[in-house]
Amino acid sequence: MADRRGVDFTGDMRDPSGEPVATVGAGAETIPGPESPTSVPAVDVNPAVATDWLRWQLVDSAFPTGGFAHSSGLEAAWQHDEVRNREDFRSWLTSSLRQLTRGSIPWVNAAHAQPGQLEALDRHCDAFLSNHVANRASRLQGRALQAAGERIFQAGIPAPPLGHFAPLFGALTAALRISHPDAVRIFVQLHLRGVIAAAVRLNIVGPMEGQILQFQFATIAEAVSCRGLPLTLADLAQTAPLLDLWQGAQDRLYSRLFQS
Amino acid sequence: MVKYAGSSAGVELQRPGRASLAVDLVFAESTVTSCYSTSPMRLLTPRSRGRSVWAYTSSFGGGMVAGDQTSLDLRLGAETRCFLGTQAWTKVYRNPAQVPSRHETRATVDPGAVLVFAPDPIQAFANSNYVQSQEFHLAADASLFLLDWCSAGRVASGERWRFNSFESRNEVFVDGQRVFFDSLLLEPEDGPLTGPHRVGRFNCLATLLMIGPALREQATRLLERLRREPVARRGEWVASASPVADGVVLRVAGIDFERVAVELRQQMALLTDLLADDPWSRKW
Repeated sequence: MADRRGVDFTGDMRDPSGEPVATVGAGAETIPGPESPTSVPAVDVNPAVATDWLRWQLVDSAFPTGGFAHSSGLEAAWQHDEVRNREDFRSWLTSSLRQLTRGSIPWVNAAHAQPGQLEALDRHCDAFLSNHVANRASRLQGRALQAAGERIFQAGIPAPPLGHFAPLFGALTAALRISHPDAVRIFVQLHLRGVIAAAVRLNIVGPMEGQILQFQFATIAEAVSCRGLPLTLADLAQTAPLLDLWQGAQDRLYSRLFQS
Repeated sequence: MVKYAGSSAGVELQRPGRASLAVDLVFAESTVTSCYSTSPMRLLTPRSRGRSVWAYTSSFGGGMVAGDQTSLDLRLGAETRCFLGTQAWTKVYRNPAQVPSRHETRATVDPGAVLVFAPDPIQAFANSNYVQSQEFHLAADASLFLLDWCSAGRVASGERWRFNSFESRNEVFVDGQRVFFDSLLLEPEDGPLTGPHRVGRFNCLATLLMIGPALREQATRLLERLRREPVARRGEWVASASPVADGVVLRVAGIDFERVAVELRQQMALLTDLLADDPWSRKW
């Protein structure tokens, strides 16, 4: 992420390059400046590059994408007794993250590069997500993301026919001028923290342990992001077929906390 | 109607490893109207005429060696039926030069026609590289039964998931719209294949897709049955079914190849009426 050292608290919110810092995405309203006698620079409502503030908002758990209703297949794997303890969870999490590289990131890449193709990508993605549980989860989260993008940022992305999450995420981050590498990292981070939160709620790991895991998995998450960055739709693939198989049973679980 | 090697299409077919089959309705029976193959591909049509055509592909040498590139073109005319299988498992031999063996299938299925595409499993040996890519283009009311499955390798001699890379891609279009896009990539670069959450203890993976009016009832019954299946804890096999277009995709992983074959055989047996016989009745 860009170094933002120059911010002091005298009210002059400029970074060393002289760029105004307190900016939000395209089309958003101007943030009122702090009540201070010092002059406040006008806030750029149409910045060339997204700010850290915007990135933090997207990864904040309060950002309403509905991700916490989903476990990305963890709950089903757990009920199949395939994830019994923290060691199993580490292995599951590694496979799940690696699967993300080829199974989801290419959609983010394609839509970030060509947001105008969102509708075609959305349909293509629908054919790829043939597992009905994963398909439903992707549509639910995608629609929530699209709605949030409109309400919060007025991102101007028309709702695609099905609304799959990964292509929408690429299109939204492009509209918000989040760089491609950052968009992919945020995407991976959302997945990582989402499944760790699910593991905590399923009591597979404790809350503190979950945070330790998240810290330890940063290296893998970064590697996954870097490997995913150049991938195109030609690289799409499942690399851990069992994850998909177990997840397909989500609706057959006797009791469940999550929708997927 | 009948095309022979000497026709314009034949020139293209002179390349090695190509096979082409066309089936048309002649006097109300499905009839092979063109059948051509070049080494190392072979195409046999033990039933070239009847309620359904039966065709088998096989290869000289019994499998794919490094650098082999084979392709299969299928065209089913309106209202025809065709079963396509293989004579034996497709073996992919070890590949010290790291040149992948490739296979491509392209099928067009005209209105009212039914294609049952059910090869034996692919068995990729240790240190082999395999890339398969298959496309099926269906008219709006055509039907497809598509089976794609693979084994862990020479399991009996302790060789499990030891190939360099295995890639299989299936795409199905109905009336020009992509309705199914499946891509499996197994290579150790993504972490040890035998990791418990990749293919783990399982030795056989299968994907079965049924789409179209001729298979709608069978697809619905399969979906219903699996919907009621209880979730087994650390089971010998796992199965999951999801609706796709007006049909179903069934995915199965099994420790024992036989257990997976039993499930698939049940589905094949239900095709007896369509195909005039059960092509798997004498298999395994």
